[in-house]
Amino acid sequence: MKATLTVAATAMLLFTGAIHAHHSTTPVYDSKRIVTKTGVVTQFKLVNPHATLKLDVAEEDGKVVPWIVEFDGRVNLTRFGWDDDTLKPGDRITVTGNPTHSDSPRMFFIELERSDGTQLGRAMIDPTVDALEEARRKRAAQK
Amino acid sequence: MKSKVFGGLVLAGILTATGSACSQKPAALAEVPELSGMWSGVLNGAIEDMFCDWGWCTDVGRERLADLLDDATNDERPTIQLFGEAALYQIEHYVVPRLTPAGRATLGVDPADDPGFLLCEPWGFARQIFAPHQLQITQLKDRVELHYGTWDARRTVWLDKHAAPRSAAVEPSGLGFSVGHYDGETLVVETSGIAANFAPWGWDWSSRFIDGKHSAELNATERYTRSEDRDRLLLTVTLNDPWSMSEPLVLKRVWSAAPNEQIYPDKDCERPHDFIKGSAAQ
Repeated sequence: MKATLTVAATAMLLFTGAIHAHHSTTPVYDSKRIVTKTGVVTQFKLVNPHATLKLDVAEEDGKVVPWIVEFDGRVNLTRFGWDDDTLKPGDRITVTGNPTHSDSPRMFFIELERSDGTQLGRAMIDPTVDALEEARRKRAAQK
Repeated sequence: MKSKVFGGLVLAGILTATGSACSQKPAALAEVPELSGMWSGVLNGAIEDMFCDWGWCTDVGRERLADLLDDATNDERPTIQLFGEAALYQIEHYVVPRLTPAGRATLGVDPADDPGFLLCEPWGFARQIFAPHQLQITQLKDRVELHYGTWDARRTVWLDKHAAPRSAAVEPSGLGFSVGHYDGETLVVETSGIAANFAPWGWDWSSRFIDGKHSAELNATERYTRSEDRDRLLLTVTLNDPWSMSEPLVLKRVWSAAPNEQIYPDKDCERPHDFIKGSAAQ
């Protein structure tokens, strides 16, 4: 997970906001910081322009805080295999993202890990990075 | 160095059905180039095409990217970093020198002032035509419909401008008023009546948000054609705005055939309440 996160974080630093989002995310989210939360999914909406996830997070003092995780839009995520059932209410996940500037309980998604260990990376970053490197290798081979 | 893709834009001969998934052309339109179908982001093939898929590109930017890729000292750098560098280069060396003082003064707008962010207001013409994701083209007898995945936005290009609603030609609007014709294998679209809005110079590239603004004097000529292998849709746009540009800008965009993709509604935009100004400068 750490390696994936490094790639995603690098890309985030390069682009500040979401590459293919319909607008910059920097007014809301601090791309220089990362936050990780574990909780239970209560809702997942795969919509445009941004998908959202509601997550009940039990803090150290026992208080349950509802977090919102914002994603790229359905237009992005479905290209890489996401669907309405990718995340379901009751799923226990650990999610990492960029927090808001105000540290409100909200983040912009980078990656998550389900309780069974399966991982999902930020859809617009990893496949694109891989495709770019593959295209570069082909170009070099043709030279 | 002229790009491979744009060096061979003009297709010779009469197009025939190729079995491409983009074959949705009515039989009555057999004499026009076959552009109909779903087009989307480029995730394979020539790296230069992928560069032109993310926003827009210029010949200057493509040449810069080629130089960076050919430079052995960059072998260990991630390609995405080279993209960012080439994108910034084309802004600094192609776009900015062609802006008027008024146009330059608008560079670096605060992303928090973007109506698309603050008000969930769909993009204007200058950003929409370069929007990422899908572009669905439907060629009809008197018009061409352009449907974009970003914002679920729709444009109509009137091949017979007399068929257009009168108000469409008079009232300035976000996407303007477009008339078109076929020039050989190319769909040529002329657009005017575009309301003043953000210009797409920066498009979140290179760690900076460098978008500027254009005036209501903006007009554009778009030229859509297919690549020789039929798998790409190529757009060359000439943008002219005497207020913000000292000379016209020629920008390009590439899509890939994507018959299995679809466009989803864009109706869940949430206006932000928790944001800061000046984030791009941080």
